[in-house]
Amino acid sequence: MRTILLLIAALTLAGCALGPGAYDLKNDGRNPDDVLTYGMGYSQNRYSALSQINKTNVKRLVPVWSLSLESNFGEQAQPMLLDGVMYIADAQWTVAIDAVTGKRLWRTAVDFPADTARIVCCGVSNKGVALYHGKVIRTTIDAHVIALDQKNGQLLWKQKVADWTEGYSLTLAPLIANGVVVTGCSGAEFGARCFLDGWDPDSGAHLWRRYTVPGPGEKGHETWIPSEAYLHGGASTWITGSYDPELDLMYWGTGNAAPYNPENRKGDNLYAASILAVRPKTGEIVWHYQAVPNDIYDWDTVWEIILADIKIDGKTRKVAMQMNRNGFLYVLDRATGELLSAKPFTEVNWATHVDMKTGRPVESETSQRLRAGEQIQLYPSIRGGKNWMHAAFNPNTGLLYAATNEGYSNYKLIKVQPFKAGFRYQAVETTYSPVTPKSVGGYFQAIDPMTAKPKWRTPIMGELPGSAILATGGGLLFTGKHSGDVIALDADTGEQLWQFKTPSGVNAQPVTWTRNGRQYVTILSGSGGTASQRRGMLDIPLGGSVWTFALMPD
Amino acid sequence: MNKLLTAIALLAAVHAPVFAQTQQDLVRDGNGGSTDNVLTYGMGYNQNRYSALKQINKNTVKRLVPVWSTSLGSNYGEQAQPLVYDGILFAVNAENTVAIDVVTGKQLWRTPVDWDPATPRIVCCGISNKGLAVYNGKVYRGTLDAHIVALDQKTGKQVWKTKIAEWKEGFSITSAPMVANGVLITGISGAEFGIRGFLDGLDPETGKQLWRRYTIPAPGEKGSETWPAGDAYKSGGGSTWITGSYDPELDLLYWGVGNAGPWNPTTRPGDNLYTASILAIKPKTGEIVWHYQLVPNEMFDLDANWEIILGDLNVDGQKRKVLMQFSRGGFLYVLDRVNGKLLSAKPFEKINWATHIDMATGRPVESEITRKARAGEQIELWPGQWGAKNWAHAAFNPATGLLYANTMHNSRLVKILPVEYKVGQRFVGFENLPAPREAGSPIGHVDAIDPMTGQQKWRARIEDIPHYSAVIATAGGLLFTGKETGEFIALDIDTGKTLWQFQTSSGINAQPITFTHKGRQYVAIQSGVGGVNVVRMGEQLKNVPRGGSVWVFALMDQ
Repeated sequence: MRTILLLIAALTLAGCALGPGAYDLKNDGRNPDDVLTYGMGYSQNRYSALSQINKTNVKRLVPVWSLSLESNFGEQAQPMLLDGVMYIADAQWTVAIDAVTGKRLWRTAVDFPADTARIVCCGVSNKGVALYHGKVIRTTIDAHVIALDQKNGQLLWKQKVADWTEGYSLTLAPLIANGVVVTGCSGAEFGARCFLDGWDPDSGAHLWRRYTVPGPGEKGHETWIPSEAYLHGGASTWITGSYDPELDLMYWGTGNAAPYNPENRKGDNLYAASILAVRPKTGEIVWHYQAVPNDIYDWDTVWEIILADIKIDGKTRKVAMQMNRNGFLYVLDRATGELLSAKPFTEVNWATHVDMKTGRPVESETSQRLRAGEQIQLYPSIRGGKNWMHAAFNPNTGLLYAATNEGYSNYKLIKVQPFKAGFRYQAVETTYSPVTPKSVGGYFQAIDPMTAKPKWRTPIMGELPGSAILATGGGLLFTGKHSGDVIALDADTGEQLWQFKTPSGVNAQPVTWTRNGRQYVTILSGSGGTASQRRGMLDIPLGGSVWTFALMPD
Repeated sequence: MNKLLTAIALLAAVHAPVFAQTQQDLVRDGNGGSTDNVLTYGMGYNQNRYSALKQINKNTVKRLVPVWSTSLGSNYGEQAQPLVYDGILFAVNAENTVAIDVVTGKQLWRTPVDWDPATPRIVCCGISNKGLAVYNGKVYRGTLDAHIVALDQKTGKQVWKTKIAEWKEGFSITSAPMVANGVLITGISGAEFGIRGFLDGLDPETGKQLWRRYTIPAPGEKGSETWPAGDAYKSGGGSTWITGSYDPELDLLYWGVGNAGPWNPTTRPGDNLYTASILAIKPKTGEIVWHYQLVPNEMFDLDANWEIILGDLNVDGQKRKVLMQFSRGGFLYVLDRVNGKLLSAKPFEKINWATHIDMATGRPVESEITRKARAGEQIELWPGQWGAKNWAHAAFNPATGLLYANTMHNSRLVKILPVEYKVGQRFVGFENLPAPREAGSPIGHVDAIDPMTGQQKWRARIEDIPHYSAVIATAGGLLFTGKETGEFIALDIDTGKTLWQFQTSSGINAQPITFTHKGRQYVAIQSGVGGVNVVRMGEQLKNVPRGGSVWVFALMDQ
């Protein structure tokens, strides 16, 4: 009896001190004080029901504190919150902050060779941490996963994922699903053969690896011709997946095939440019849907996969939605992978449509000319109809809110040079349509998932989209711009209701949370990533910082 | 006739540029000029750091909010006072000069400063810069490697660059240059590296040197008799690292001079003019019209560099044109600025190196403790390493006649050590250690002080980290200053109570300003922990990140 009591006491203690647990992650959002998952919920809706800050009072939204992150590499991460402490990551640091005062509690440097930057396609960056059982778990640019003690930032374990000198890097936030830490891989511009990894959160022990490019003897390997092309086939997994705890399925997107020029990789090239449904305990692929067989356009299919229950033909379906880089908005049955809809949300000229029977895109005349070696004007540009800047979904309106790209690429395949470890492996020539102060760089859009039609759209002038979108119960959308503005839009009209100019460019991910009944919005500022190419003419100073806003008291 | 027309055309061209601050504009800055501009270091040639603006006041300050912030792209630390002209804010640090639109916060241009990465080894107190000057369409700044550069205000393009001294010999520039009577004047740093200090006058248009006034006279010059024969004067210190004040009516510049070098005085018997002195100088020629030496044969790093505040005070029923200085040594000096006559010198903090200032001779009467130190003993000295006040500039409210200052309350253990001069190396000869602090004692204060008595009207106690920011006073009944932990704060000018604060992104060790644009009052400050204090307060500041930015605040609309 005594032993049992002790055991209960020990469990209770452990439960209190070492959060969050699986229950907390599954129910992220129920306690609005905390933000525990990438995307503000396993379903990555980036929706909060909080409404203290709303359309009527957002003009009284003011900064309440800011904290320098002392990095010039750029800030892309989503902050996490637990028990009044905010956890932030960038390429250089992991930082814990008192969420109300903005005082730094600890900071731990990420130890990576300065040389690493040369194998990173798109900025020395990091998209955020995961929290689990008293640990802060994150990835590093030199392809490691590390766990720090939430209390003091001390290193608890560190695991090598891959050898960065071979072109591998990690910038994504880990996903913790069914008690397993799951990480992906970047490097499809450097001829990586990517994968997902499962790790034990307590010890860091490696539990499984699932290559996204199957090796000899594995199912799907036959889609690589010749067979050895699989060795550098790309299919990176550089954006955190979603998770349906009831189905116990993770949904991960995979990146472009490598090299971009397909001359030495005939076939569909599974699982490049695909959505995978994966068991977190084992890494087993339960189903897959390939958006672009034999991808030649850098049509990453890694963007956030948004899980929702929506009505289709009068029936509620459990779906997974993705606004793909290729310009189509895919809606899949997330239990089976059945394609339910695939409509273009922007100008698309590489495919005429997606064949709903086969699920395959029907490539256009333009694409055929590209495959024949001609230079084409490609819509969307290879930046994509949308880039990683994550969209939001409001389950009440049933609408997606996204920042989409305008423009095109002049695009041409060039001869593939032999693979060299740690060097670019792309074999294309690209230029982009110019972004000038007077041109429309993109749109903020409210989109119906099944038709991909905008309910409204607001042009983004003179720059490309910068940041993820957060939707709230206050009828607002929060996002940021490369020019440094954090903005709030009316979710019903797209009208900009509020803005604040932060010190650097904003290419990050807003969150909202509460403490002692007060609603806060937090976002990082710090121009980085590929922003220097994306933002057009703007000269934005570097320098990372965290910004937290709340309503000015009456 | 043709010539006349050409002359008129030329004149018109000269007057045409939008960016054309005249000498008159500088004279009127903080002195009846447009409150849209802040054109001088200290918000006026008199360095009162006082503004008559009161839209932001004791009642409304709770509605003060950031309206924008802009990164300055540097991790070295921000100490500068920004200037504002015609809707453009100019900010500097050791790495960049930046122009920013005051309404939107958008960077208009940024020009990096080019200096040898080895320079920091000859910098005593942080890689930093305290500000710039604007005049006739140009911005002027010093560089860590002892150059002055002029940039075009519109584009940031360099117009000229003049080498002032050789950094490898220990010279550096961190102070803001100033323009007085059409001459661009700069001081110099390096008294910890055995320099011989000076002031330089330059032609603002061309950067050509007009004059140099050494703060240490050469053999044969007046004052040279206060130095021993030989080379001691050549490494005698006397830096000029804080910008002077200017009285346009008297046409006199007032500039403070730093410690003697080396700190150990045994190799330099004599008064060592003009170290630890206040100089009155003609800007056109560099002529020293009068001087007042605060500390003859100075030995404790008792810089007399701090801001020299010009005011009109009633002294014994008579209105006197005075200058005031809180010295590092802990006395508050009031001098007649016409002739240099000492009017008052009262301690404003705990000190033990002198018992008092002899009003007849103007000389400090050194204490028994100082005599022990001169004899080679280790002593506990008040003030401590920072001085009773450091450079963090004080404000003066002409309406109340009070000074407002961030002061320091600490002591140190000092002892003279042997020292040898080597070019570009530290030349100090002194053990200078923080003394253990008494538990529960304050480490500093914000003080409201009467200039003639040195007495506090109120004190706001600081227990963690002394403030290293300048103070500004406003007619709204507020003082603005910053904390090394990042809070920008507003205090009630009558009580010292903190009425408002905002946590900025890094620590604040800089200089606020206030100005208007389209009728709205703004307050600006740079945030970015840096300077010598970061090293000294390392443990307390370990969780204050670096990272420079400008912050602009205004009242939220009701």
